[in-house]
Amino acid sequence: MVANVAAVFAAGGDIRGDTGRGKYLFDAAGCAGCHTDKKNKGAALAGGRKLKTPFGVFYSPNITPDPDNGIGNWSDADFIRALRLGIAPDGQHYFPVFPYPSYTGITDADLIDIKAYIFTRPPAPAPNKPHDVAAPFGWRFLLPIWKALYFSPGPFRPDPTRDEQWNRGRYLIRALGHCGECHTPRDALGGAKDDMAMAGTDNAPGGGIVPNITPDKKTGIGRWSDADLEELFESGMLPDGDFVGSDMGEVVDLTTSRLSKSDIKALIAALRALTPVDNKIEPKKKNKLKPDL
Amino acid sequence: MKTIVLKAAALAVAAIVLSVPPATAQEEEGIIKHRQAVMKAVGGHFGAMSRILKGQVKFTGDLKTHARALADLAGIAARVFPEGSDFGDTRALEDIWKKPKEFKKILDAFKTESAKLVKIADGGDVKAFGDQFKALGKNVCGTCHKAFREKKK
Repeated sequence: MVANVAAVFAAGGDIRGDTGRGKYLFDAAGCAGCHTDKKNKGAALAGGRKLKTPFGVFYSPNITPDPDNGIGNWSDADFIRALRLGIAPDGQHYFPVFPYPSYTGITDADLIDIKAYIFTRPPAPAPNKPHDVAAPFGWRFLLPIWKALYFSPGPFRPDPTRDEQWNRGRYLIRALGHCGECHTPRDALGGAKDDMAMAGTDNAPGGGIVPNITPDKKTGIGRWSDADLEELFESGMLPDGDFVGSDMGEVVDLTTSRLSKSDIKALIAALRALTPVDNKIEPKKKNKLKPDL
Repeated sequence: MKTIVLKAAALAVAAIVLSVPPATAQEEEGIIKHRQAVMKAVGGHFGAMSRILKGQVKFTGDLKTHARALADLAGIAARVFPEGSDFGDTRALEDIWKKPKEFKKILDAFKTESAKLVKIADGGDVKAFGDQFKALGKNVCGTCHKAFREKKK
């Protein structure tokens, strides 16, 4: 048997897929970040990470192969439906804090490999924590309406008028990397403002500011060189010598620093091809805790 | 009588508390501004080295100078986070003082890794220098900013 290929057929299950390829795609999709409560030393992929949003506090679920608390009983079809359509095996709709509006673009083949890799990870028995979301955002039955308004499901379709590199980069940005989940501003109902794609926001769901990464020369990354972008993705260094921390630091760690050279090049090519949006993002004056300072 | 004793005790305590001069607002602000200046200096040398390593300028001979400056600044960096300097206009997170062991580990790594960078610079191997430069940035600067610096608001 080829070393990387898990052709394990559990009773009634349909686990297949290339775990080596799956690991690469798993990193490209950055799953480990939200699904691991690193701050409280939670087990890898066991969930429980607190995600604060303007709509309430969510706790990421356990995605280890633990059959009782994780996704150990999921079929490939269950997994594909969850990521493609945002629907759990029991038919419940997921809140879009789970970035299925992006993951919907991941191809079936890639999803199957990602799942195969996840199923090689150690199971953790950590139970899921209920979300703490106030009405009406906590009303799951409203989610189909939200989805009808803001969600267009379906795998990424390559644009035949563009070259392979652009298509690969676009797939990395839009589907796997789900960059827009943070870098695209949202409206009052949490839907992405498509005409402002990747233009940044000073009101990110997790608080704080997220920079404009469109190629706008004044307010985006239009003046960055390819080497500047490569360096950011590789080591987290910004052109001014500062190093990203917090959320992007995690993305560099878990995703961009693990991408192949050719994927980085594709990512950069696709970033450069985004529609430039003039949207200046500036830090707000911090509220000082001591009024006399 | 009892009340008088209690009052006297309270006044004595108050006198002690009030006699400890708390850092004034200006001093606190000064500590934070100084720290930010030191960090800007660190970033400045990083930025300069990065431009050299990317080949955008030809000052390869200056890498040594920048590396030494960085190693010197690593010594200063350990002193610029005194207890109590976590409020005001700063992105330094409270965890710096709550998890002093973890924080110190990174500061120590800053010293040892930047000392290594100086050594490599003296040897003159630009490729090895670039590798160490990246490792230092990712493992020291990046790690610390992730754990101990608040995101921009």
